[in-house]
Amino acid sequence: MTEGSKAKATHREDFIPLQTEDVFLDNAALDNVMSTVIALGSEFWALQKRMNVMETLLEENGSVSKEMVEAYRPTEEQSAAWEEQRDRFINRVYGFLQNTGTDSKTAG
Amino acid sequence: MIDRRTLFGTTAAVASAFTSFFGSRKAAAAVTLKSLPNDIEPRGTYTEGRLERLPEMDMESRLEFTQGFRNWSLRNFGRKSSSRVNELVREAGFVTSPSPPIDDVLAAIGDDLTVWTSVRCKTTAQQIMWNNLVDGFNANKDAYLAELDAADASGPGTLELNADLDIPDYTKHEIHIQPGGYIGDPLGGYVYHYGVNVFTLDLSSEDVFHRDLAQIIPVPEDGKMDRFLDIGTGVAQLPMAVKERFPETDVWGIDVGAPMLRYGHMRAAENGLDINLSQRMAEDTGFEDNSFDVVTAYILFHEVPTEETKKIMAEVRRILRPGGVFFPVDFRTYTQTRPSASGRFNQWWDHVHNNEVWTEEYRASDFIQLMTDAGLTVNEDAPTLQKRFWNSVMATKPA
Repeated sequence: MTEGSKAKATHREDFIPLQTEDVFLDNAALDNVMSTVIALGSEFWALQKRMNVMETLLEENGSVSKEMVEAYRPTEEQSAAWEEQRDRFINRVYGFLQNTGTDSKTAG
Repeated sequence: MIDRRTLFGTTAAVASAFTSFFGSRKAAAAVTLKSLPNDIEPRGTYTEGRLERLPEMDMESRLEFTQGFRNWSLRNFGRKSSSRVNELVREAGFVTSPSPPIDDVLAAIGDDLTVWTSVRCKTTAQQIMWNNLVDGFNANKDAYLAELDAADASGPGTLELNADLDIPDYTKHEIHIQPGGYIGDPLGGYVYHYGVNVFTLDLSSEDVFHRDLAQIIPVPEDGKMDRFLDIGTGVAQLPMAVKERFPETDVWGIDVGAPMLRYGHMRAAENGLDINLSQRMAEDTGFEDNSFDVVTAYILFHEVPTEETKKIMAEVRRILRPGGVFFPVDFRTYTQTRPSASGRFNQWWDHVHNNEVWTEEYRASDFIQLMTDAGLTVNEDAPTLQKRFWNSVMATKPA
């Protein structure tokens, strides 16, 4: 059996696609821009993480290759530190989204 | 390609630091996965060796961001939004706990910017999670299909697929807005597993929750545990964990989704667990009468319309042997817990915008009465990992 026929036999084309409207801010463009900005955060973090790994490898080995980066396993301490770095990044950049003019009435 | 054994033994602890409803991360003995033909594992496995690392670091990093952003959306912004929902509901003249009807909650919220911006964040987190996984796995689609093809015929364990299975429409939705849902994407098992790890707020969960759950599965009073079935088994994490707890038991899992079962079979084989997975409907399993000691269903019934639930209950009673145990772990229904206004709003979001198509019907049902109506003897004080969250019910088939 070929890969194509195997795939055809093991999944279905007749699934029911999502039909819910995905606009929350009364302006589809604003929703789309917000989603794009959030998605860019994930791309930025991928670059930041790659930078962290490359800096570590250069410090440890004096050289770096794509294979070394992909194979790298952070220590528990590095993972914790990078997780904190990520969360600070998210708070710093996306905290603005909470500024909606209702803080005087709402307990944070 | 990096040999997993070269990497095995080092650690990549990326788990969340906090406890969630799904339990806390506990250390467990590390395992070494069995290599199957066409195996793709360029970056080794996570800490305990049970789950392969995502194939590219960028893909993994994006998922880490999604996890962090989801945490922030739920726990920082989400708390502020929940406070705002309750405040608006109070201003509209309602009490907040228990919640007024959802239409009243939505009317009270109106176009409030805090609430809907928070919803935007939560929804986008879900979307970018799936986009990243679908894009990443499909970038190497042929190789993953070849990996699944080879795993189909590998053991231990068996896999039965039925391309002619008549699948009802209620199973065909893109649940959790996962592209293709459980049946439509041949790589849906991969995508689901890594995605649900984000949902459970623990990136490298490595079946942690399922192993905890397997430890509390009640056995029949006579202690006989020769044959076990998990219905709606998905990627088979629970039967894998049950096999670890009960190595001598004949363990089965069934699901409607072939992509899920194929991935689950591959992982079970890699983990050396001899379980049987079969593509069957829970309403009509095809198993013999009185042929199982324990039947479980983990987060199945909130994905099922009530009329189908009744059929599944009848089928469970038929295939359980007298004295056998039914252990359906799912969310609490409204007959068990009435949510606050903000909780009710979150459930509405889950239903409408996370495409949990049947969850409103499930929560509105009297699940315990449905089990009783099926002729099962219900125990409402079943073992649970978190009573505030899970339904904590089980049933036995009368002698």
